Amino acid sequence: MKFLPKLAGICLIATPGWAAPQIAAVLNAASYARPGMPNSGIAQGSMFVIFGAGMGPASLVQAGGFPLPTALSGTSVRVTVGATAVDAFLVYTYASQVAAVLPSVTPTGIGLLSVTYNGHTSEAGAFRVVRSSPGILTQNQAGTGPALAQNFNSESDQPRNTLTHAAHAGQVLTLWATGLGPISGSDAAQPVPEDLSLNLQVLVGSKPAKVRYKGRSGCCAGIDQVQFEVPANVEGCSVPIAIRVDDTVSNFATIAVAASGDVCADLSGVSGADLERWQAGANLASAAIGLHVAQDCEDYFCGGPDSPAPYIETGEASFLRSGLPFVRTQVGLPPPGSCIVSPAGVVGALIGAPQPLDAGGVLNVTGPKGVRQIVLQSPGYYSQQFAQGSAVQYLVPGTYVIDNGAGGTDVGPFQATLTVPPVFTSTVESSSAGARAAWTGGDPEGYVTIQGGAASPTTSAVASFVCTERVSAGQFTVPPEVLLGLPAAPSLSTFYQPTAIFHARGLDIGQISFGQ
Amino acid sequence: MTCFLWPVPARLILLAGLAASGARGQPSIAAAINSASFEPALSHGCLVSIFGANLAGSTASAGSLPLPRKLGGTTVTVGDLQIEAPLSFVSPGQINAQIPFEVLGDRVPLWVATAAGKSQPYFVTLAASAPGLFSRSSDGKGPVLAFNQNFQPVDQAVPGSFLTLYATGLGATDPPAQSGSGGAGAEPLNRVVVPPEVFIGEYPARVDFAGLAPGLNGVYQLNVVPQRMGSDRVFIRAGGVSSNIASIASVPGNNVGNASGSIQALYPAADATSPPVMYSPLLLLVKFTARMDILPSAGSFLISAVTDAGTTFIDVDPAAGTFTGTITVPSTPSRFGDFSGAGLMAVDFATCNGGGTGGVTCLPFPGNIIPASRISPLELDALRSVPAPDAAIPNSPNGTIQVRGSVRAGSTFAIDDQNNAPLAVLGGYFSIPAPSNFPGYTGTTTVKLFIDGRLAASTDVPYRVGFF
Repeated sequence: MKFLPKLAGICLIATPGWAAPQIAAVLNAASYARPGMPNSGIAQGSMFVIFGAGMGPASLVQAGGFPLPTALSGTSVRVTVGATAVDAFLVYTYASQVAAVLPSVTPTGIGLLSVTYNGHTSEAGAFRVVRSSPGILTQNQAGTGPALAQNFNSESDQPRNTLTHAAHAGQVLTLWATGLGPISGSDAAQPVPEDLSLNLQVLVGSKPAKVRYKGRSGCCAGIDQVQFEVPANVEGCSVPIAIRVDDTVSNFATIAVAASGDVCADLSGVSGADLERWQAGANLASAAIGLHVAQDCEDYFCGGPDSPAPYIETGEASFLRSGLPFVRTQVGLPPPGSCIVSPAGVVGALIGAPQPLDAGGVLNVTGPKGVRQIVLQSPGYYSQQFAQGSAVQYLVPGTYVIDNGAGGTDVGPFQATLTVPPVFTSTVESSSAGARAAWTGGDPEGYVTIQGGAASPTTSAVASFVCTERVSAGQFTVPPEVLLGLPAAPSLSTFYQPTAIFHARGLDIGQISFGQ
Repeated sequence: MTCFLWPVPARLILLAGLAASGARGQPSIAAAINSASFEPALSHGCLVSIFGANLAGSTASAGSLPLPRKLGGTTVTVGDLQIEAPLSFVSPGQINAQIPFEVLGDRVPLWVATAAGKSQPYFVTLAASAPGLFSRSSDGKGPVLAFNQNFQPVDQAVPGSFLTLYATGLGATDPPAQSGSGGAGAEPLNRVVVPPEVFIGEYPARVDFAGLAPGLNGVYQLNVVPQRMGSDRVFIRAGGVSSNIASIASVPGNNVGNASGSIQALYPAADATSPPVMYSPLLLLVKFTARMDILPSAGSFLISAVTDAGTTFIDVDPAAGTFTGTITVPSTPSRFGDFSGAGLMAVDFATCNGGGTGGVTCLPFPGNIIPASRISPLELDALRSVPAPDAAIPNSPNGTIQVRGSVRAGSTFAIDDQNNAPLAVLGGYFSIPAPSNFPGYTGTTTVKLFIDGRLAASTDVPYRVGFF
């Protein structure tokens, strides 16, 4: 190794050099797809965000208009691919986050990005430049949940698609996105709408939609619009929507679709109006009653061939006023026949602590094997073990009616009815060639949840998905757009929980379910 | 002021490789560690030593900068984009490379590829800073590699005098460095972006320069001036991450005579063989004695007992007639195994699985609380002998007790169970880095006692980790 000569005489006193920007991540501005995910590349002409530190001023500064600048409030972003260096067009700058548009002329391949702020330049960070990598803008600005989409009623009436402004089959929607691909004009100028020549699909509830337009929006540099017609026979508050360009699939967002009226209905039976109030942070009164049969061991030595685990039959319930994260009713599932892919680490915001509701001192359960009670254990919470043994003794298939007698001070009297169906059994298979689940039993009118997860064996990327299908279908094959959105072949499991809705004075939502 | 910035000797870079034996099969990675500290902490731009089998067909060293991305037929790629790492040395058993600055992400895969194939990915965790301090023995232990203003190696640190130390893993620089290249030889020099603290003798030294050493790849130079010394330990802290601990002798004072002391590890020395410790962080409790004659003309001086887990400093000021002791002891929550408010993770070794190239996976205790049933009875006995703390240190499971008293020049000052008993203990928890051979890991931590700059006692405390 060759060494430089001794540098005598260089006097180094305390002159801190710690002012340079630092880059932590370069992500699609809409999907926030993490490195290692199949859709983590940054498309030519797309908007992307850089996360880091020291990259801009303490307060956010936005570009004032067109053309977008390559230097904004002391910040500039340079991307080098091979021998080609381009300056990104800046949308906003902030100390920890910078948004910019990648010029369409940027070559594809491994790009090195550096941020300069007030004359100090960061170390270069590597990312992949691709031709197309769609990302759907979402209302939470984090790439998950409800999409940023508008229902087209007329040129002057295009409300945002929400749970209480649901779309209908055949209606045209405008979906906002980025990353469809490069354009021929300037990325810094206000874009001119132009249909891009792309092998693009919009999948709504796993059904391909008729696409009317795919290209830049007329308003915003790097931002795309896709106009499509909502397919028939897809309804719900969380209808998955994804854009596929060639074999690259966007993040999965959702739209609300109603058979009629403006308000969607969630698969759980919760109305879109209630969901919207919850999502806005309201505390709602909810009840969740569960009947369970679990084959489980309470001690370490149980569970072997000579000592099979006993069946433990229990009933439990909660009556709470709470925000959405504490609601035990599973909401937000996709409609039957479709799937939602979620990146790892997505968690909901905590909204308020649950407050117990008085629904009376006891819940009466009347079933094929007689009457039992679920007793109040602590304010708002009820539980009771019905039986334990080598066979199911109480919660056998049949119809169960649960009531709370005269009710309590917060929740009035109710009667909830649930039918426990014949035993549900399922099988799953998953490989790089595909993933499929099949089942027998259950209530044909109910639905099965198919869950899966995938962790890349070669990167740290992790993603999961959830699908639903009607019990009567008997099987479900995970759609290709889901598999394309995962970093590896998934593991698969099924979950079947018959549910029914009930109503009572003082309750916004009541749900009873059976789990086995 | 005279201060200098010089390159570091070649021996710093060329870490010893294993004997060349010729690659026969697909490469496999056993470990990838910081080349200076020999610990798992790595950062972008950090020098990394990769150990394993069949890592290269032969032994080869890079001859010049910038370093090649392929050496002796071997490549190392890092991150989901598989960025090729600069290589300085390859052999069948060891590779010395640099984590490319360009790699983004905090947990990334690393591969080694040769003509015989490509290894399985080995995941490493990258932080903005992962300081590793070079020592003379090139394993991160023992005397630190230090030079004076004339670039002569030094064994001793003198408060107020200039020292140059070398490290890796200090992260990004301004202006940015190029992976595989050396630091700039003239202004603008590559100063670090995340400011490091350099502790010499437990006290922060003044840092005059921290940045890439001129002409050296991945090696950072630290020009520092020690301020005060309470021990011989040297370490760096940057971005909340501490380096390995090396040593440099302190200058003995002229304030005491007949200094002597002893150290007794209450735990885990008594528990080092059976039963083994079952969890991390590991509790360390120590009693010590110190006795000295304070000379009539004495100025202020320090008595200090130091370990990886805690410190006791006793600041004696004969002129003022006082002494002040600050001692780390286990805080009240940690006495009950409750680490829920601590910055470190309590790991249940009974849950560990894996091994081999994939490393070991161990689960934390739920809620970061160690159940009482899992705390050794010997440890509980030892805990009862330690005074309760006055206050918890933020972000630490340790607490402190403050002791003040009077002292007189020309007299004997003693710390033991009979005299100044509260000062005679120190304790705390330290987290055991997860080595590849968990469980059954054995290690030692060193406890040292200094009196007025003199090493009065030193004890290696063994510990062992394993299943029931």
